[in-house]
Amino acid sequence: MNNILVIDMIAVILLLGIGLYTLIVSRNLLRMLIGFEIMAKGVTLAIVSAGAYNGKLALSQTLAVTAIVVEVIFIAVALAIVMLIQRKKGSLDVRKITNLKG
Amino acid sequence: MELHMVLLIAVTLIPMIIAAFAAELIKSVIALLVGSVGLTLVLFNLNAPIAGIFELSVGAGLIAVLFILSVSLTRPLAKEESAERKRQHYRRFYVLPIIILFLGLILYLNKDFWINAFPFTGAQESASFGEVLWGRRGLDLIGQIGIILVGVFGVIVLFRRGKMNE
Amino acid sequence: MLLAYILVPLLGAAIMPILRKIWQKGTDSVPILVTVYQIIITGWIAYQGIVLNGSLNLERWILDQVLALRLDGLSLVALLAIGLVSFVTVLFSLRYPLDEDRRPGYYALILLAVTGMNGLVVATDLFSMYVFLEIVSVASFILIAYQYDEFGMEGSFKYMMLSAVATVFLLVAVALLFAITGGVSFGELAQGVKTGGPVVFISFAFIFFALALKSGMMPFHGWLPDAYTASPAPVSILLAGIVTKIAGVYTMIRLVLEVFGFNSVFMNLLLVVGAVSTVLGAFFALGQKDFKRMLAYSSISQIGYIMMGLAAGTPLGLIGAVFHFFNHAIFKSLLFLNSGAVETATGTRNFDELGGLAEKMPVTGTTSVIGLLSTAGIPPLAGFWSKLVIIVALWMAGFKFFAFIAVFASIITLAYLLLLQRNVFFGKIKQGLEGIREVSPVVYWPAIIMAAITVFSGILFPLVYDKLLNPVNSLLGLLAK
Repeated sequence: MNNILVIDMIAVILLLGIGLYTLIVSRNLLRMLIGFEIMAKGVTLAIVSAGAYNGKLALSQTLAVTAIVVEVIFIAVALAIVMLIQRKKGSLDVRKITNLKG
Repeated sequence: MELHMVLLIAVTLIPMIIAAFAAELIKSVIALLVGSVGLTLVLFNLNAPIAGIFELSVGAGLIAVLFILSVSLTRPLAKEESAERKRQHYRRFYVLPIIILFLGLILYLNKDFWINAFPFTGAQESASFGEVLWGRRGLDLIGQIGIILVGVFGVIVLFRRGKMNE
Repeated sequence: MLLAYILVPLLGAAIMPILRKIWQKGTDSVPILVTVYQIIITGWIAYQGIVLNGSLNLERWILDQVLALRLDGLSLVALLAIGLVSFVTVLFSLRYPLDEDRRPGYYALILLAVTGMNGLVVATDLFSMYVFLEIVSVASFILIAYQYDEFGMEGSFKYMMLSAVATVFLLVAVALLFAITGGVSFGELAQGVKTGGPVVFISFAFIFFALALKSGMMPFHGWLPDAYTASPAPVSILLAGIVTKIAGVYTMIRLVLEVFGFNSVFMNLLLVVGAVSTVLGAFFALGQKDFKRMLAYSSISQIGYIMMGLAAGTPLGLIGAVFHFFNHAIFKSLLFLNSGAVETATGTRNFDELGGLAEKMPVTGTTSVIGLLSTAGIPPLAGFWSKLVIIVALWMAGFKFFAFIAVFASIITLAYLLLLQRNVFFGKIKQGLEGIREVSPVVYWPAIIMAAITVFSGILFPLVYDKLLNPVNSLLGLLAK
């Protein structure tokens, strides 16, 4: 079982890497959300493979289901806000919406 | 078993890289959908059918619908602008596949270290999905009700005046 | 009993759409009733535990296996702070010009944020904590973007993206810990992580990173001033007063106590990050021209104090951290209340356009003096005692250099807050502001309540220390492994 877990965890790290890279480098708001979505897939895989490894598959599936529900609500709200930004600014470019200075 | 897993993970990872790499958003969304289907297969292979079905219907289906809806609601760019945009996009993203390939290779070659890092617990659990969900994770269910309410009120609050204005 | 903390606000939010149809006025009173209920019930539990039984021992009320909830000294302090801050937020919202049509939805979201915070405080497992954390965060994104202005959208989107990264890292850490311990409740995790090893270290690092992002510590503070400044005035009271403190600071304290233990690597890191936030936050605040933005940087600085107190790793440091956590909720929401009052009265937050408001707005001016003196740590106000305890704890734990940094930062704090007071309230009145009148009582009464709490918990400090804060200490006894 250890081999499978480690392979899955490598996949999780790669998914997080792809997602984070997309989130940081992209200038399009929707693509940033796609980056988050890729990371969220990695999270689902991490939870389920952890459960498959330690034998508590039922528990891990309930956790994964809850995580997916939360993720969907998050994405729905995020898309709503992105739509409002687009309606207001006429653009999805992240450079055009930054007025506030950190 | 191991090779099987590696293949399925490749089916998940390659569409995800394409999702990041594709210049057009609609292609990205479709690649994300394909990657989610790949993830579903991985979950089935791990003997987690319920999480797999959930991933397929909600994680892949619903999210793809939401994304396609949003992409189709955004205004398309003018031709020359979009060509310029594409060039910039590829310039930013061409290193990503290389990074991921190298990272994956390095991690895979060092996997023996990580195999030893996980102590084996191996306690088998007999409870079924339903028993665990209703019997032990009641608080999560309340949390799910809460977050669904947040989503409902959020969409109401965010879009109500939008309708009145236009 | 404890379940009511989650279910009452949840129910209050759920009946909002029905109330809107049948009894429009009720939509205003339900959130007030819910928050007052929370203050009273928390006070009653504290009274029962402290006055009748001598002191509040660590109590566990676990409803068999289904819902593991727990209340102890730390969560009692947090619940009281949540009740107070959300109560003044709701009071302030009553007269705040919100879109009438969407007002019930707004109240529902505030109540859901309260649900999330309460659930997070009483939960006993890491995954439930994550679910409730996400309820709070998503409700906050919507509330920040509530007014449809560009700044609100931008602040909301920034907060959203950084918070998304934080939750992903938190969940991966949960998955890793779950893989090696076979459970997600605090008890199982604490058992499992004793073995140590690289996987445990990585998951600690991920959780640490996630919570530092959530609480807006200095290298990861980018979203915080934007989110605070961009949101509508009542929302920024809720956000600055309690949401980020519960989401970042409370979770950090709770996880350190229950799961991590005082791991020396992470405690030293926390100490350094806390010190950097304290000093740089104060310096950044010094350069701000916007009322709310200055307060936002001041928040970063105060969070640094709390983290330093925690990182001292002694019972005294923990007491200081928890007391400063409570004080910060009170005085920062007081200052944000005043900024909201100034903004509604004059229509601006820019220092260049403000001045001499003290004679026109006596209540707001006076309460803001109390708030700022408490923030800067002037005796006998509550902020002085908590800072003193943190500094003494740092000194006694051997971190003398960091104790000096804490003292130094508190001088800068006094400097920028006096600057604020002079620019906004003192001096000659600016042109165009002659017609300003004091805001309505609904707006200034919450400020008076908060100022009174600050003054009394400062004067009665020995009592507060004995009765309310010592129980927190019992948590440490639990940790002595």
